[in-house]
Amino acid sequence: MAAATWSWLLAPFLLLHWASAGAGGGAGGSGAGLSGPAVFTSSFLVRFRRGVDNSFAHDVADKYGFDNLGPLVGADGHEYHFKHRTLPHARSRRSLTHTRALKSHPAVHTAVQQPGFKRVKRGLRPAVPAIHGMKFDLKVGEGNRIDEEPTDPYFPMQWYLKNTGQNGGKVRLDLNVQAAWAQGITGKNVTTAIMDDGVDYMHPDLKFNYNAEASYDFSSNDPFPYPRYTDDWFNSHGTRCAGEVAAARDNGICGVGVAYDSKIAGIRMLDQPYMTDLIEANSMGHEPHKIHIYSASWGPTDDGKTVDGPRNATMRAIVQGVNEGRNGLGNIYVWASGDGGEEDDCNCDGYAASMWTISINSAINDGQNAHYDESCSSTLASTFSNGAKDPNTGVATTDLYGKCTTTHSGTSAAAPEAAGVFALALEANPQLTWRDIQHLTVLTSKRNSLFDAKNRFHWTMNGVGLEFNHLFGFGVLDAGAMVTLSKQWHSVPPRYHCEAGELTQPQAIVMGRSLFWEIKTDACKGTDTEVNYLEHVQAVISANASRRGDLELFLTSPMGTKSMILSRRANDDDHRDGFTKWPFMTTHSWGEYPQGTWKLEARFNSPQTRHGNLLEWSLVLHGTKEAPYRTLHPSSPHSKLAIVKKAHEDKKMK
Amino acid sequence: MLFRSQTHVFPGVYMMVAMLVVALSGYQVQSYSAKDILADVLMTDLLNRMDKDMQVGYYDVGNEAAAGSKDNVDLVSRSEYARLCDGGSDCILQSGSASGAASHPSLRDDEFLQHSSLWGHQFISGGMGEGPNRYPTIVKNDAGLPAYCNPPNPCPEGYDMETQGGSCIVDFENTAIFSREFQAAQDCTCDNEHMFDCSEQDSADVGGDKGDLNSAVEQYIMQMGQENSLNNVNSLAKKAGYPVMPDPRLDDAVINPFLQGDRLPIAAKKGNLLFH
Repeated sequence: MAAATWSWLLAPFLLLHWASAGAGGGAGGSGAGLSGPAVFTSSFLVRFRRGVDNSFAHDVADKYGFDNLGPLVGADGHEYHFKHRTLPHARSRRSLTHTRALKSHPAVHTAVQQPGFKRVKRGLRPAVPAIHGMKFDLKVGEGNRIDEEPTDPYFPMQWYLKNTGQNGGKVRLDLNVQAAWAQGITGKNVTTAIMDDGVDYMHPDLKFNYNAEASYDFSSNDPFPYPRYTDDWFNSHGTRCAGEVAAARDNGICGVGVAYDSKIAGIRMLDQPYMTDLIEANSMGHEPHKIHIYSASWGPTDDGKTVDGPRNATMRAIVQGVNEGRNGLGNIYVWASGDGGEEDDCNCDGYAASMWTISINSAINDGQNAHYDESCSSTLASTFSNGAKDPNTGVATTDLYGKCTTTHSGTSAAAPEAAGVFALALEANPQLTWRDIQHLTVLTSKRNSLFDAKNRFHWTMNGVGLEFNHLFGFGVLDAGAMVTLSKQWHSVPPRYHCEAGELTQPQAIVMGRSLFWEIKTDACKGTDTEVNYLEHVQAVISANASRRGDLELFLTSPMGTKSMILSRRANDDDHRDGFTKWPFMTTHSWGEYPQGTWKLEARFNSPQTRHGNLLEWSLVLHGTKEAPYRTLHPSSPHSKLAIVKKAHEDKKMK
Repeated sequence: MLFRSQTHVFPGVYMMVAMLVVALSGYQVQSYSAKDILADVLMTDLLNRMDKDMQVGYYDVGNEAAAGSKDNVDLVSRSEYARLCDGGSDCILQSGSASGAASHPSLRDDEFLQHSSLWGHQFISGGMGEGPNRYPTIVKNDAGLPAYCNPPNPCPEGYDMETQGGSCIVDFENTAIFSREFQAAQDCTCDNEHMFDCSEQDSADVGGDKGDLNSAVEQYIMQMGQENSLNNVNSLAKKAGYPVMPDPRLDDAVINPFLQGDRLPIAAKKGNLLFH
């Protein structure tokens, strides 16, 4: 397996960069309740002196009044997650008593009480959701159901599945799912986990597509992730996301899911006072061989000033998922890119910007970006969400207590649509790896008529002919095209990580003039980590500024593709933390050749005088040594695959 | 049993045993636990018997020490723990400020004085009859932050509890009313952010909402400022949350047998030496 081939290379890289990045992210302004990080939960990370089995850990936990919530992913039985039974869920001070009690056990090496931090759901939510309950009789004498349109009552409102121009939409601007369904691909044998505030698995549109075995409630610590009631239905978020993926077809209830024969699992992990590293890690590493896709529509606060990302255990769980999940093919992590609007940059969200997650942005029914859309260079592609002006252009889906809604919104609604499309691809080809899914996304997403309503970002062609947009990534997902290409796909070659160079001499960034740094690289030619065809590129950067939000960073590849890896964030007034080894990622050089001179540009964009320093830059290139698409046969000479293949072959002949 | 008998008949033996326990560094946790409780007794006794000395102690605290010590109790605990660990490689607290504290004897003295200001603050406020007073030392409230109600757990479609385990509700109605009533029956904090009206549900955690924590602390300080009774001061001191106090909510908290009987004042005298 490709994963096995290079996983040993990945581990030291992970430790080298992400450990520091995590620290930097933590310093970058985590909002954690009172002031600073002074919130402690009842969760403890317990490290044993030797690997122990679960029953031993259980006995230790029980002895001191804890519940054992299981081993940490990838810790070889050395690390467990304990939760104290009676300690408050969140306190303003650390409990030394309980920490010391755990450490008094001879087998326990370390016990760390988990600090809590803020994570929010993504999506604009009205205070009171629009509630509809509609019931239709099934159509009598139903014929060939695959070719006919779904009879679900809300299907006519699901313009993202079939855009007929509803409410001013653009005809045929949708996910092209019917082209996938027409091939008989509906998501069978694929499970998507909705990591959120719970799923109403009793919903008549969901209950037969629910995978109880793969589900868990980490907020209440039990196997049943049913949402908690509030008067404003605040916890309808997960149920809405679930319906987009796998709502049943032709049952007369609500709408139809993108992959309506696939299954959803519920992982309730967003409904406790504070998030912890352990809850996130256990969620993203939960049942990795039964869950194929994890869908996340949450993240650090999208306030335009937060720089935060996964902590150590969570990062390890994600890496373990892509390396070993799905029996070595790798789990697919789908992330909502963020709802901070034009004044935020999702590269400051370490989850969305991770190269191990697929970050999805959104467009509305006429192709323009939604007003809440963030932009960043790590976004891979887009799907659809609401226009917010007209409630009828929201996303129609399931809601709590067996109800339906037409007002699901935000990039929260976009990510599950992508999860559904990936479920279709995985049915078409169950052998697709996590990297294959990203390659397929790049090659089959469409520009269509997506455009920036404020005319800031334009479609640009990279060095091998791939069109991208800073807002939309490589375009909107096309389920029909992805399924077609998935069927004939051959897995891409092994991938390597080349540390292409490092500049560590601090230099001042002068107002009114761009600072340029250059790294000339042969992309580890002749070494074990030689990279000739790019996938992700990371610029790991340390910098400070008198106002961090006014700093802009651009990365230009040797083939001339300029990527804005950090945009201006008007609300970010940080002057103390800056960035510490923050991994800015871009997908825009996908498929390019990395050899040559890379340029980093740093400048201030501000009406007032600012000052700061570029402290450090490490360039890390991720990609393959061998041409990734050489065994594939394009169906059309005008397809993206054909264009890239030709560019690669032309290069080889030089 | 035997120990109680000895205590009753030979008080001196009890004291010897206590001292031996404190002296045995090999039993760090046990001796530490005893010392913690002795320290607590010491504080109570000092408060009751040395009014003027506490005032003097408070005013002797330098600004620098006060600014540097955000969390008085933790600093004292860390210092004590560092001494007891004495080079143990796995000692989680033997680093950073703890190490610094251990290597600076004068800082230990400051810690003691700073620690006393926690008591002095309360006492002086009460004794002077002023209220409310604002002091730079922050009294941290140990009240729990919000813990949400648990939702019902209906059995998924086709779920068989016998073979698949877990405990779920078979007779379940998938309505908002069912969930609301299920949660209202619990003793848990009302979710002020997302419930329209919390008056219907009494909250077991008074002022527990995170947004109200600061005001709760403020009310707490005011309340202490207005109290003028030594007994109440003692009670409030406990609420202030001395971290090593046994948590009364722990059902299986083990009671230290050495504390049984009526010999506390004598024990307190011995413990006093630990802070010089």
